[in-house]
Amino acid sequence: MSSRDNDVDLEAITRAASDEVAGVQYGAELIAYADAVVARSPDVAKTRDAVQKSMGDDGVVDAAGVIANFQRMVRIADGTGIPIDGPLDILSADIRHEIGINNFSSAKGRGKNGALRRLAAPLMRRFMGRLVRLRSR
Amino acid sequence: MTSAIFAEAPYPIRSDLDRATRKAWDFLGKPGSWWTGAERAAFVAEVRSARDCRLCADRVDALGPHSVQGEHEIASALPAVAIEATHRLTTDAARLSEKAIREFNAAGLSDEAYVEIVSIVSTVMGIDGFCDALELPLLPLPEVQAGEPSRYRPAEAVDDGAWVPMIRSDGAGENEADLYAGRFTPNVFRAMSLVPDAVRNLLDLLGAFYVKDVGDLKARNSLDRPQIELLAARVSALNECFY
Repeated sequence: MSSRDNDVDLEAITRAASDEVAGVQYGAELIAYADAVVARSPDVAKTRDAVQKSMGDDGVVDAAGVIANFQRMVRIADGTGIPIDGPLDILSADIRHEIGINNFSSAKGRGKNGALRRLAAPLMRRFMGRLVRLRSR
Repeated sequence: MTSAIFAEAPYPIRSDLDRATRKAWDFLGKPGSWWTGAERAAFVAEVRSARDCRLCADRVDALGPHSVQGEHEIASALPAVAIEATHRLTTDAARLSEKAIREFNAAGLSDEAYVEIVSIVSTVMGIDGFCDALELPLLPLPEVQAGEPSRYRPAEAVDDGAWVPMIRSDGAGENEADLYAGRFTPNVFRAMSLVPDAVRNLLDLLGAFYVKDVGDLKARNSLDRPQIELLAARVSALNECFY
């Protein structure tokens, strides 16, 4: 079964703990592994074993690669103060508010997120989705 | 033929990932644009020292990074401002600000030299993070190559909304024509374009650690795209990264 078949539970990104993540197969195992690696916790081996049991050796290595990559990317983004890319800034305004990303220290003074933008974001996503489908015909 | 850099790993490591890591690690020991090979290798040691620095840990727990005073646990003879920037990037990047960067400038660290530090710190955090995730021993410090920094600054780098100058998506000159090469160029790919080799290093590792093409929704065989993006978003959230 592919994760692509479902809507994804975006709140899992910032929730303290996750039993399961709707829409992402083995999402809970992946989140536990990422949490342990970033915290350099003694649970790294246990959580990695759980990913290995679910997804095999290749899954562990690829998951480790993605975690490592984003340990890198966050420092580039936060160290240089880049703004959110224009279209994404508008399309994600409501989601960033709902899952608490706008409360991060790094959000201060970066990007606009007024109520109007948050209301407009889902409409813009629907419009963009239709546009993409039309263009792909 | 060179041996695999992760030959002792308990899991089979893809050859492209092994090769990209070796290339990135070797790059850290070579003279850069603004720092020598010896200085760049010293930054690697400094990142590792920062990860266990008591002052940095106390600052992370404090309301503001300047509310705790003390001395960093240092591993190099790099200039004090470079050590401060390295420790902040390693342990508390989310609370960096434009004011902090201007303070680094005032203490003698140019934007160009700072961006090269961002490149080094982020590369080390990525590769050491991979070792942490698989509980592999950290790689030995990179082999230092002699030579002087090129001091190359692309003339096209301008103020484009970040704290440091960047080359615009449509503004790369002849020397940097390969950087964006018709790709979708999100700001995070342009962030270090003041030091073009830092962007080249970023993209080399990106294909091996993440996805070869950010627009390719098929991603890798073992992880589908939602799984990849869940991991990416979770790590970003744990680091309180707004971007």
